[in-house]
Amino acid sequence: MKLPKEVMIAMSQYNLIIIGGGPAGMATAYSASQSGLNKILLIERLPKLGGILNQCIHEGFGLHYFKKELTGTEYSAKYSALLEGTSIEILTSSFVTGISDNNNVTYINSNGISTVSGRKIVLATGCRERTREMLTIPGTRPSGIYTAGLSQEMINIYGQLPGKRVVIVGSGDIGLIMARRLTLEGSAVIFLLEVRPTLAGLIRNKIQCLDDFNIPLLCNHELLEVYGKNRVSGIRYRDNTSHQEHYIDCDTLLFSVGLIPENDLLKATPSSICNGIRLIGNAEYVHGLVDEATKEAEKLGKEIAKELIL
Amino acid sequence: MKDIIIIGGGIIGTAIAQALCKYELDILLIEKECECSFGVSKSNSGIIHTGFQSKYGSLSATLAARGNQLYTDLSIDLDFPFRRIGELIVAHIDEKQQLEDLYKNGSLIGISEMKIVDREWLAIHEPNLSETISFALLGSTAGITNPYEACYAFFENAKANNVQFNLSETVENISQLNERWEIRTNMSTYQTNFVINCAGLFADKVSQLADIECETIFPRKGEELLLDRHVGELCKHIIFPLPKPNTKGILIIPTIDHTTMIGPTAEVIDDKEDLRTTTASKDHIINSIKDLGPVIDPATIITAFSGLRPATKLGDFYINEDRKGFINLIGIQSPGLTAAPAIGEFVTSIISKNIKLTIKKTYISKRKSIPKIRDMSVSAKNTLIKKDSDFGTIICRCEEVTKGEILEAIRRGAKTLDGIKFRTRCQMGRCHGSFCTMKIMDIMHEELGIPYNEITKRGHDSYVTI
Ligand SMILES: Cc1cc2nc3c(=O)[nH]c(=O)nc-3n(C[C@H](O)[C@H](O)[C@H](O)COP(=O)(O)OP(=O)(O)OC[C@H]3O[C@@H](n4cnc5c(N)ncnc54)[C@H](O)[C@@H]3O)c2cc1C
Ligand SMILES: Cc1cc2nc3c(=O)[nH]c(=O)nc-3n(C[C@H](O)[C@H](O)[C@H](O)COP(=O)(O)OP(=O)(O)OC[C@H]3O[C@@H](n4cnc5c(N)ncnc54)[C@H](O)[C@@H]3O)c2cc1C
Repeated sequence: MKLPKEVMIAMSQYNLIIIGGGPAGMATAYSASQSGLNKILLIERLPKLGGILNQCIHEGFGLHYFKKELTGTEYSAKYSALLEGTSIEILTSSFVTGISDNNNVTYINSNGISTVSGRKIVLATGCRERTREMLTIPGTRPSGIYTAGLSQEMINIYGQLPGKRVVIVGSGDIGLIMARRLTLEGSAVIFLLEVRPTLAGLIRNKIQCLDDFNIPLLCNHELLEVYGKNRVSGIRYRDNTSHQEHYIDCDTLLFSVGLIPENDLLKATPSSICNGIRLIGNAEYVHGLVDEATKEAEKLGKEIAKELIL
Repeated sequence: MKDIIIIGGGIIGTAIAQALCKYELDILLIEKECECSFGVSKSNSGIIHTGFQSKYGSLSATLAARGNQLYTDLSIDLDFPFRRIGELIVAHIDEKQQLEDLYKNGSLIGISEMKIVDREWLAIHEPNLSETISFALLGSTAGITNPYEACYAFFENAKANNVQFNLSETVENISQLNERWEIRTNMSTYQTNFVINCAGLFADKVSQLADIECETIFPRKGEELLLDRHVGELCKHIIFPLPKPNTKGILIIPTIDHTTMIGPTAEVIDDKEDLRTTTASKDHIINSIKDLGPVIDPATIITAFSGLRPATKLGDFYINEDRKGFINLIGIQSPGLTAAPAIGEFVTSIISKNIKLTIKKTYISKRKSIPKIRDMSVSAKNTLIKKDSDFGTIICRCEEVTKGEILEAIRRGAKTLDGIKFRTRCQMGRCHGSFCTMKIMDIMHEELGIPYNEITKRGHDSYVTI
């Protein structure tokens, strides 16, 4: 492929390019650098490193890695501090739009479009929440239907409340954590509906986030229809054990129905180079604990350094 | 005192405003929603039909065929997306006669570029269609557009030419005063020489406000399903079954964004605001598509929506100056989007019989769309970002929409999350806004100076946060 002139000028060569500056991306960069590798570039689309951790103000992070119970934001701050003083180049507010032949990584930021090339590329782009259930449930399509993660960003980053009477659909960890968070903020969490017979998230989170606040978890319960013209006004749901249908008033529906690794960048990447790209953290598979994502990423960083330095 | 008041800011009202804005006229358009295109015009199939499904001699056939022709130049002048991809009406072995009848109907209307194709042609050009389909009528002039972009292009061009738009204002009463009309809204009272009633589903109600009898509008619901981008385009042409008396049937529609949409259903309902989607409709659509060939995996459906066609018993458009200075447009259902520019011409010709029309010296005939970073060349992107660095900040990661595009949408009149979505595709991708909603709200908060909890999804009480 012939590149336009302005791209050629901006082109620089790296040993390792890491896409995504969450805990997995930071750890890959850090350990590769600690193992002696230079010319490492870490690209993050947001203004700050830390990924999803930056909206997690609850405790439960770092028990294994830092041997201390930290909040997500503390973990993020502690780990990004490690990067200071290393030779890792960090680009924030820069969004990777594609990976092409010759391991070229193209990104966009307020300076324009740039393309860099890396001997190794690591994808640490995290995961995203499933939304299909949220969009194809029968009924109206009013405001007030969000993923649990979006509601977390609303409250923890922007200080905004999604609603007053909340039903959570699904029992993933983010849903459990948000049930507690919303209750503490003064909203009423009516219950969680889980279509499967058992809890989807961690038992620890159920005890700390639901049981301690008397929030019911209704397993074997299915959401059937959403009501409300402009804003959610209620839902119809069914107890799949007794087959009874019920209606309840609410103004907000949060979905916590699973996470999917975000690796869409690979879909448009030529298959010849796809094989050489390594996935890590939630982009590889969804991790319950950040410590594990960090550990695996550090192992990968070390491996890559070893491979390239030889 | 206005020359003309247009009631309704859907595709029809904005197309009329756009057609009239080149003349020396004082025009006001009143729309009850907080943005244009929030009525019927926001949920349709985006097809610019050939016109041959409408019966020769009907007003809708004439106006659809003419509208179709006008889209080429309009989409260039006003810079909105339009592609003539052609349509196929498919038939089984024993149904060829019906295709020939449609062909004849099309010829009478004056539609060119039609031909009947056979199985061999279909096997090459549309391999995903069922082998039980033996023939098809190919209409090469059919196209697809993005209905909101078309509507906003008309709106912006009309606004640039000094048409006044009063949004979030509802017409509540209309009375005749000598040679004039007085229009009372929830905000103010206006006098005008001409009233153009293109209030879509509510056009019969608006006509009643003026004490003018008209056909009753019976909403006919159409539900559609949008498939994930990775499914791609199932077909190259728009695929139609043979039409039934009240509907064109369930179609396979390649969208302007290179995805596939399937639908719409057709169900007569009572409530003009009932936009619920149902499992039964979803199943019906999937089953009907199976008859055409493709088997749809329900897991690839990313969204379902429905729209209401403003249908009447007449089964045709009704456009007439029912009283002196009062033009009624009733029953502008499908192919209303197609016919819109021709309806603009038609209404202009009615007006010209009453008012002498002179072209404005200051008339601006062109409009540029909001730049789409994603579709630009590298050098064009760099030039734009150098001029305005906000075009280098990605807000919507799924559709790669930048802060610059969102700001531009707001500056052109977007006031709601849906208004931004319709103009930029931000929130339309696979995360459906879970990554970008707050970032968009942050931009709106800053640019419009409104608190977060006053930002709505689509006006009224559709608040996002409390
Ligand atoms: C609500 C919630 C609660 C959790 N609770 C706990 C807990 O209590 N304890 C615990 O140990 N773990 C917890 N976890 C898990 C832990 O947060 C994750 O395992 C960890 O954050 C995964 O890290 P990551 O780097 O893979 O992904 P992320 O943190 O998602 O980081 C990915 C990064 O990639 C960036 N990116 C994506 N695409 C691009 C692109 N194209 N260009 C540039 N950058 C891009 C993103 O902006 C992001 O910063 C929780 C997770 C969530 C969501
Ligand atoms: C499912 C479906 C699919 C379709 N597919 C196609 C297609 O592929 N091709 C095609 O050509 N056509 C199609 N159509 C038809 C097309 O969408 C309509 O004909 C067209 O949108 C009608 O536009 P309109 O401006 O008349 O109505 P609207 O968009 O509803 O505009 C009328 C406006 O008037 C306003 N209003 C009402 N009352 C008042 C009042 N009292 N005061 C102030 N304002 C008021 C409303 O708020 C509304 O915005 C489809 C329709 C449906 C439902």
